[in-house]
Amino acid sequence: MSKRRPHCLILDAGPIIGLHELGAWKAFVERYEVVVPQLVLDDEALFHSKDAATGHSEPIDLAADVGAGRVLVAAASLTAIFRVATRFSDAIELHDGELEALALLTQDESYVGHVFCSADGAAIEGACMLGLTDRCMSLEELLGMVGLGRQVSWRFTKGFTERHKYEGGERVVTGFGFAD
Amino acid sequence: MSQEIQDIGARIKAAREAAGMKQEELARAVGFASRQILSDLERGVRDVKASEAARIARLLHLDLSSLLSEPQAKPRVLWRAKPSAGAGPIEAIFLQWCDRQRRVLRLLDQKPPDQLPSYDRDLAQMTYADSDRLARQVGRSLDLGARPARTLCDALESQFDVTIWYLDTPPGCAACTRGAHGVSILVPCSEAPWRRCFDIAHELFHLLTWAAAERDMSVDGTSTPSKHMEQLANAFAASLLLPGELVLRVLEERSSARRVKLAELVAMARDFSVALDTLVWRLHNLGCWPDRAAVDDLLCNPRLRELDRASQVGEWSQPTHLPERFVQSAYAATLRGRLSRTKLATYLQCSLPDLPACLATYGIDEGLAELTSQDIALEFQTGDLDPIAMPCEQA
Repeated sequence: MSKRRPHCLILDAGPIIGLHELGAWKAFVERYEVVVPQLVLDDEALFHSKDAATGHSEPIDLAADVGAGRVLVAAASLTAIFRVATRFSDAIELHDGELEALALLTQDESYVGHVFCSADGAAIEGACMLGLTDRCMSLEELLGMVGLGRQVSWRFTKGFTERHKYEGGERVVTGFGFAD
Repeated sequence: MSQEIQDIGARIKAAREAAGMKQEELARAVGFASRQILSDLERGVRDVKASEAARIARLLHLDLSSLLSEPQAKPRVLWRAKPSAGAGPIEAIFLQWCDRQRRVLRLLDQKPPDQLPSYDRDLAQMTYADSDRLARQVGRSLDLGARPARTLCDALESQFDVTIWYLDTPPGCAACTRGAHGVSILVPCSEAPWRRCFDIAHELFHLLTWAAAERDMSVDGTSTPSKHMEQLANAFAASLLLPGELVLRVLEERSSARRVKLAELVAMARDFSVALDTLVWRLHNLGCWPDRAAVDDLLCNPRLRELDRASQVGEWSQPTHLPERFVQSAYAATLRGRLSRTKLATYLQCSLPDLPACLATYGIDEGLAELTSQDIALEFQTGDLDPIAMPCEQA
């Protein structure tokens, strides 16, 4: 890869699908060092991009990107994911892939500088509850930072991410959602 | 190794043993190089990748989240007829759905409700007349109307909070469970609608007499009810779906000079949404055809069978895959930021891009979420109602 890729990201399933639907995936992974949690990758069989107008589906082939080194895969240990899961009370339930992303961001030194990009409100709020507020960024912002800015759907906007960062902050204040 | 990994290891071992799998079998299915890796994991002396643990959970029909949280006591499942092959995995899938329902309700600060009455008496002493009386009582309290099979599911779900899961199990293999995880019935989705109704009514008997059945089966150590219990449940189901007085009145209306045409009999079965055999045996028990051999002959009558087959065309409707209330609750948890949208897709067994379409099949418009997120909250006050100021009373 000849281009410089200064920003390192951990991507959740939503942005991966969104980038494919926007036709921006290829350009995006050239500009960013993209890390996908193993558990997100394992759900790849469920991934496909969908044309909003026609409803036509295209399968997403992440394995090819991983094989070619365009995308990195990171795996957390069972203990690491357990530690994250048990930080939350029974009132919060995240997807396995989201828990793995949070485990990597909070416990693995290789990812201390990485940014978390998700289009899932609960995952963003969960990240904020673990002190990762400053490391959550919307897909809209990330696209804009590398000259790929375009109109995105609601879940990928800065407004959506900021709203859930605020909600996550509220939880930190009230203590809601934290295990005893 | 940490206490954490020891706890998880113990849970994996318990789940594997409950599923009736050997270490070697599970290790091979996960893709471990040797059985020793799984053995070490179960003993809490080895950590594994989260993705490997997720594979283990999938193979045991569990969610990874349930391996990561405090274990629940395994609920008892009562089988009408346990599948001859693969009973363990089917039961595990049924319990996985019950557990998902429990988890979703917990996200909404609710416990699985159990509004179902209990009829706790010695089942060995119970007679068909008792079963019939219980069916009348339940039919009245549920207000099932003149065609009980058509209203039973909705009434059970709305009045007694019974959850009905339609899963891909072999025909005849219905089951039920009742406990801290709620009250649920498993119905094979491949069955005809009238069979499904009968299954539900039959399982309802077991749920009503759950405490007595549990007591009896704890002594036997079995998960299959006794023959007597099954006969009582069948009698209850027939009485519930075909109330005696009503059925005899309709038979009178459809007959002439105490003779009923075969086609009328078939039409009556369809009208009541029951299988023809169920109707004929019910009429036998109500004294219309006291001769048992004559009933056997009637049910073998080729003309009757042909009419029955012909009447079934167009009657087959498939139930929605998941109970609507489960989907509504899971969606409500997502809207409140408690269940991640990706997890919601997992619970609804669809991909993320297909989630809006999947929700739409349950009458949920996800586009509204965007609007409601911008919603404003109206402040209001509560106070005692002043009866004098009530407009309707003034009028």
